[in-house]
Amino acid sequence: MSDSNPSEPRHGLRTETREASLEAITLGCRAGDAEAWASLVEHFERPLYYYACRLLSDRDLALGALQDAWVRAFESVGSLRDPRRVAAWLYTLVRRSAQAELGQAGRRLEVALPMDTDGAELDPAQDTPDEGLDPWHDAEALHGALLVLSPASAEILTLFFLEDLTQAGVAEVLGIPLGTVKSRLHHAKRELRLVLRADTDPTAPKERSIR
Amino acid sequence: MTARETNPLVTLEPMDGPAYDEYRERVRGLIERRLTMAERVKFLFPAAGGFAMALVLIALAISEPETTPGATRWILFGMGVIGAGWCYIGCRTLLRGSLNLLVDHRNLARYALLVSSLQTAVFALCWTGDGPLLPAILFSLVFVVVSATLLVTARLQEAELRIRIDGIGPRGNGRP
Repeated sequence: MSDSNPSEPRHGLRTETREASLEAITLGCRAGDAEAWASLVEHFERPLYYYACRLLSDRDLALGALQDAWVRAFESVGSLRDPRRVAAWLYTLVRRSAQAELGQAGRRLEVALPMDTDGAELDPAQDTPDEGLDPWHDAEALHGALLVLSPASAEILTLFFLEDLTQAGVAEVLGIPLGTVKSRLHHAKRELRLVLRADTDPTAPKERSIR
Repeated sequence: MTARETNPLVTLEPMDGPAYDEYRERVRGLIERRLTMAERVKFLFPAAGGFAMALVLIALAISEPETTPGATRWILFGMGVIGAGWCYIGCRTLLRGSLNLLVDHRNLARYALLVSSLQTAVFALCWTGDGPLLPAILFSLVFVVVSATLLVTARLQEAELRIRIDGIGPRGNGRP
């Protein structure tokens, strides 16, 4: 993973092919094509559900948020002007639905980290490589670590590891500047490495529970 | 679409059980639900009404005596075309059995209808029976017809979306 461009999502498929397919599917959805909707759901259902689970720590609530997000998508697909933004649009809808779910329970999403900056101080040369931080390499370790990280770090790393979004897309979903995404990602990765290292310590705390 | 390679991370959050089955059923209902017979009857009205309107008004326009002013004849034609537009929308809805909400089309059509209606009304008020305003009135009328057709299409789409959303039913206690 260290040889990939961090500003681009990483996929098993060639990015151009995937984006063209998604664009065609999104245009089909705008035209009311049921098959296009089925494809869109099939393509994004699992990662969106995973994201909702990380936000809500409850699988039933996550399914509820996901269902609401699909209804909102169905209602507002006409307002999606650029079909290439479909991934960011869907993740944003899920995030809003999750916020609504949390709001009903009198809770809120944690939106900021105390160390948030505009990313200007980050020197890419000094940034530690992403070695070992790859869902294709050791998904279970990452999954376990995401359960014990702070919510804001877990959220940005989840968006990063799900590989559907560029960093600009992550910024759009979270509603923060690109520089803040870079800064937050940098700190979240550092936090993640500490958790992964501590994982070898039998006395370290393990998983945050998810119902 | 080519299936993408599944990110191993997402497989660690299981999607199964009764709650997932219920979720799947509702999402499938949202996407695939077709109009019922009763709903089709509802959409039959604009189709049949529009057809009758187009038939009668265009027949009138053709069969009017030669002493009838040309403007009257053209207005009858215009209204007949509006009826044909309703008929087209109704038939299209019935044949496809589903619609999709396009917010932009609705807003654009509403705006275009307002502007073209005002323009047509002003031209018509200024018209004294003959003269150079007639082509302008007819030209404006074309825009009225097109924008009205687009607006009606969008309103029908919204109506169907409401049917779909009502069809999937409310969720209880924040659970799917």
